[in-house]
Amino acid sequence: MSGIPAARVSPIIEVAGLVKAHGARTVLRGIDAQVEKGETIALVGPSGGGKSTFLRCLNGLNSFDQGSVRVAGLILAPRTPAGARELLPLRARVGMVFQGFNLFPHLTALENVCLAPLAVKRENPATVAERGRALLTRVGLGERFQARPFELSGGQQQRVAIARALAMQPEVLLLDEPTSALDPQLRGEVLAVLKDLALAGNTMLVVTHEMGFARAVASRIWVFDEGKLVEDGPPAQVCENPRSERARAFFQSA
Amino acid sequence: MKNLALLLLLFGSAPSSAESALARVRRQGELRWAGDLQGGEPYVFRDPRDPSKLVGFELDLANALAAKLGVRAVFVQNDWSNLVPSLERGDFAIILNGLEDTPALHGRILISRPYFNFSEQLVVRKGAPARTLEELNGHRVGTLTSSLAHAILRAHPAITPILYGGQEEPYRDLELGRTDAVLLDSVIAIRYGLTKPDLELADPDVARGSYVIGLRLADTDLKAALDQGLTELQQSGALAEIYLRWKLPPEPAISPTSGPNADEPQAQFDRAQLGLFLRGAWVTLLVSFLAMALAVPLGLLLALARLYGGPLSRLLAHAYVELFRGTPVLLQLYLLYYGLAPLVHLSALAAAVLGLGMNYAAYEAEVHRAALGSLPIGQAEAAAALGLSRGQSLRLVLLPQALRIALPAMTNDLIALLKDSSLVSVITVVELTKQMTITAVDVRSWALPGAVCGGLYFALSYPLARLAARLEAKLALSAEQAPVPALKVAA
Repeated sequence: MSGIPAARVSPIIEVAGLVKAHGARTVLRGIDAQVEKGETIALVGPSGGGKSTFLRCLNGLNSFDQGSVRVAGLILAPRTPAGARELLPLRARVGMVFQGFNLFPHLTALENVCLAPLAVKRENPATVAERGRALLTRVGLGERFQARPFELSGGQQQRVAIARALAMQPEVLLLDEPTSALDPQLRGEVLAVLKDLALAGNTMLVVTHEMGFARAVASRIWVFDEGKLVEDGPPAQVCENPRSERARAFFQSA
Repeated sequence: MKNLALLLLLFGSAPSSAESALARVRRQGELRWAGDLQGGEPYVFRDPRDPSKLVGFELDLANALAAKLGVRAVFVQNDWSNLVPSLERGDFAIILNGLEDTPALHGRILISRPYFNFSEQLVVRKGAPARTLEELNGHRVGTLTSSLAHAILRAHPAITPILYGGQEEPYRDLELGRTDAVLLDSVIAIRYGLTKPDLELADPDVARGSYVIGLRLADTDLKAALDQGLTELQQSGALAEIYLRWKLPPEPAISPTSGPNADEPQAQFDRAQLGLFLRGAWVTLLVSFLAMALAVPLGLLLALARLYGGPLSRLLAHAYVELFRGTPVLLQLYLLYYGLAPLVHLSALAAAVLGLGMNYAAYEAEVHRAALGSLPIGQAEAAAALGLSRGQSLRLVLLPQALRIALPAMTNDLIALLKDSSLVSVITVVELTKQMTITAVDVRSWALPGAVCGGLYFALSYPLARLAARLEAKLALSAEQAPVPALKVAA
């Protein structure tokens, strides 16, 4: 990160002084962070630490109260409501995968994947269908284009959800605990897809409890605790030699 | 003729104020006169030999009067208790259907000179002790709603009047002991009361009354023409001939000697009657489906306004739902058809569809609101995260799911609507239930018409329920709702 300032392209995500309160409770207490294009960041830490809230602030699903957020060249203003029209261009550039998959149950796998490129970007249907099939094949669902979500296992559904997010060709992919709702034996298939995406150079932020995955795949690990970003560094450094007492305690229990 | 009456209901036109009533009748070449076939014999009713034809002494009278005016008589079916409001809203030119000269009519509409005189007769069970109105104090006495007899009974506060819509039922209840006497005019008493073996005449002449023709207040020249026509018919003996033909006494009947002849055939429930029932069922189906086709989108609009609208549209949608849910649909139909008549002249069918549709929209709004509310928050979030606008999210993601969830409730409402549509008979639409009551009077029995009517309702609603169940399975959103084959695919 501190490598060569002169040649440095501007970070794809820049957050400074981010504060978010939930009523009287302050959930995020001044977050400063940057992500370069092509990085995979693993957001870890104890429950309630603020990592999911932080992630959802990056595409406006959660509003924040103070600070500045710039994602993929677009600036998010504080207190922008989640339904605001101004957020639409940002969301077209930032993909999101949810813990609960949130596939659209009335559509087939392929329709789920193709919906947004057709509706939001008004792309050519043939191009979109072709890309959709390629993406589903890439996540290992080449045989299940016409399957309805309820006909798929959790792991398959989550892989469709990843393909759905990728179909918009996002500059940043946000993943909020993508394997937490899955049985342990189904997590591997999703993590394998994520590893493949990371190696292919996608910019990803993954909130996860899978420390093995974080260590193996992430370029950096962020530890959130009590609304603060307490550790930010390469996996080896953060896991082996955390600077803060809280992070050390977290890794010992994890 | 039978199709004509329905057609006239659909395309009833407003009276133009420019020309006089008589001029309009002459220009149109027809005298539109209204009655209720449910009144049955001998007024105007379906010919037992050929139910496609109408007969009755009032039909003969209408034809004779129309001939005097040089025009054709055209019958318009209208619920008897609503003849006056329908006249006022301009559905037809005159009422000619056993309309009794009561004080309540004066000042509200014009009335012609009497065309028939009768006496009010008190009928009791054979051997009953109470045989005069005075002796019936503290007893229950049946009569027709808003008849002269009803007015007489109201002048006896100690008598409890029991009100009926048809003339057969009061005597039936008297036979069954539900009432102790029936007070109705001699024409009805002779044909519907004294034909029953257990009943007898207690007081043949409680009061005198007469049938008159009703006209709108402004139509004075038409009244004068009809009065003159009646006078001429009386002087020429043509009126007496009509009454003779229908075995009606020229003067009030004092004794029940002139009842209908035994050779007069009584209507049977035959194939022709079934045809009328099928037509009634078609009207029921039409009204119900059109009303639902209005209720579902309007309800959806109301639900969206309540969920996503600004403060004003939220308030208005909420007020609409509470107002239409909180007041009787019957009242809404009356208001729409009669109350708004001076402002908006709706045809009966349009008012029926609009009234039921607007009422059911309030219920559909709640169904849609509940269905939208039941969707997981993750659906809207996933749509938003993909960059879909709120409108796209609703159209492509939320509504398709909500409508599937709402489908069972909507089916339920449609089946309920199928039966509630019988209420529209009050605004002159002859649907299945009204047809049943008309036929029941004609054939003097409720059993078979009732069974056929019920059978037809069931035949309409059951396939609907089956169809909806199949649709639900086809559109299933989860394995639990899916039919068995889909489960196999999942395995």
